[in-house]
Amino acid sequence: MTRHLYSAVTLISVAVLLAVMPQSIFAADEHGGGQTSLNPLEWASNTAFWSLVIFVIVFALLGKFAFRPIAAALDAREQGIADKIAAAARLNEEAKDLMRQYQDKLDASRDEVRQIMETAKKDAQRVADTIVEKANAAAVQERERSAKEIESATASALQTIAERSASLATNLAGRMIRAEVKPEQHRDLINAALQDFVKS
Amino acid sequence: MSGGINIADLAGHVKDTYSFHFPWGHWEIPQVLQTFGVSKYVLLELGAAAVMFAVFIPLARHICGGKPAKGRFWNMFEVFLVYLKDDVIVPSIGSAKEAAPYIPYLWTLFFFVLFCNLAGMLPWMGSPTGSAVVTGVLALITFTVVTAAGMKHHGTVGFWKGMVPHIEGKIAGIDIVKILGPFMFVLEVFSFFVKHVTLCIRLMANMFGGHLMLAIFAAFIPMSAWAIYIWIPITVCAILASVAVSFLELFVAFLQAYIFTFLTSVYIGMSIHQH
Repeated sequence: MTRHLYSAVTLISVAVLLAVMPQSIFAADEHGGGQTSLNPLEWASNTAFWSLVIFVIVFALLGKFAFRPIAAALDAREQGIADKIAAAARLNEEAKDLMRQYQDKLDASRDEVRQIMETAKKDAQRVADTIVEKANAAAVQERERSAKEIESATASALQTIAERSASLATNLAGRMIRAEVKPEQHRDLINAALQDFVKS
Repeated sequence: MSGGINIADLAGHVKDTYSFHFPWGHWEIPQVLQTFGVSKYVLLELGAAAVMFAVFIPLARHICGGKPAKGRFWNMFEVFLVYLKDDVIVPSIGSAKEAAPYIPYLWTLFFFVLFCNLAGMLPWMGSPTGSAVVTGVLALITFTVVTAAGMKHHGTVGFWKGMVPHIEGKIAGIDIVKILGPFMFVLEVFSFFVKHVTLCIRLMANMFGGHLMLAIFAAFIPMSAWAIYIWIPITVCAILASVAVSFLELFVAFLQAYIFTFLTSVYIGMSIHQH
């Protein structure tokens, strides 16, 4: 596209050059010699010719070595900046997504911790209740066992007393039968029997 | 003229000649160059071209591959280029893709006109763009580019046919276009040429007028030299006015380069997107 434009400009420039050149080159005296007038529209073919040549050369050389590279560089920079902005926006979206995910995980973790704490409290309460119930049951069993033991010991003691009493009475009766006993002896016998009873 | 001052001589610095006028004397362009028609304005245009080569070829190396320009000097010119491309050329032509082939031409045009305008701000030089010859050549090249752009997009016949706007309606059973078409074609083609002539006249008139005004202010000083009591205040006023107009000329140099480039972009856009 640009090449066609340059070709068109060049062709028309050459045509204009051919039109003005015969009267422009070697026509320096046309308005030379220091003579001036106030007419700014005064035509000078030599100045027109050289102006055209200078501008076309400047356009051609700067277009090739400066302005087209500069335009390409500006476009490249613009594209680079646009790419960086797009990448930054994409990274920002990704960061927001990650942030959202982390926030969700954090919220889930908090809920989980709350549930764990509640479960632990319930478990601890259940364990405590169980321990208390077991302790109470053990205490009741212990008390019942102690009562039974006391009862058993009492019965055993009573049985022993009865057996001793019977034996003592038997012995005493045997002695009384074998000898005549005076009231003092009778009393001594009873005392001696009581002392034996206490010792046994 | 009072004080023996010839206004035509004073206007000499805004006219194309074969010599440079310095306070210490005149420097005549060598005869061999004069033989080939190389005048003061031609040398100044060569100077503008040399400055453009000195600036933009190194700038292209600095920013090749999309690297950022470093330093205020290179950034300043890059800002000009980017502004022209993004805010003047592309919006005027239509799209970045359509504008791309014309960007090098329009950049060249802007800086060539600008440096030629600024040459007039240098002491003892002059503005080649103060001459209708130079601006006429620039307008002619723009005309060529605009026409070539239109023909490329619409074809040779299509471009010239497209000059006539589409009109719907009939008069006595005959299409209005068939009746008015030829007249409108002539009018539109004439308008197309005149638009480019106005490019030439506008730039030349602004630059020539500004420098002529400076010359006239300067002329007041020798013209009032016949009486010391009037010479002093007039000299002070003339110097102050010259300084103020010089600032204005500096602004006009940029403004006219911008206008020439902007209108060229608009004309290219109009030739691509006809009626």
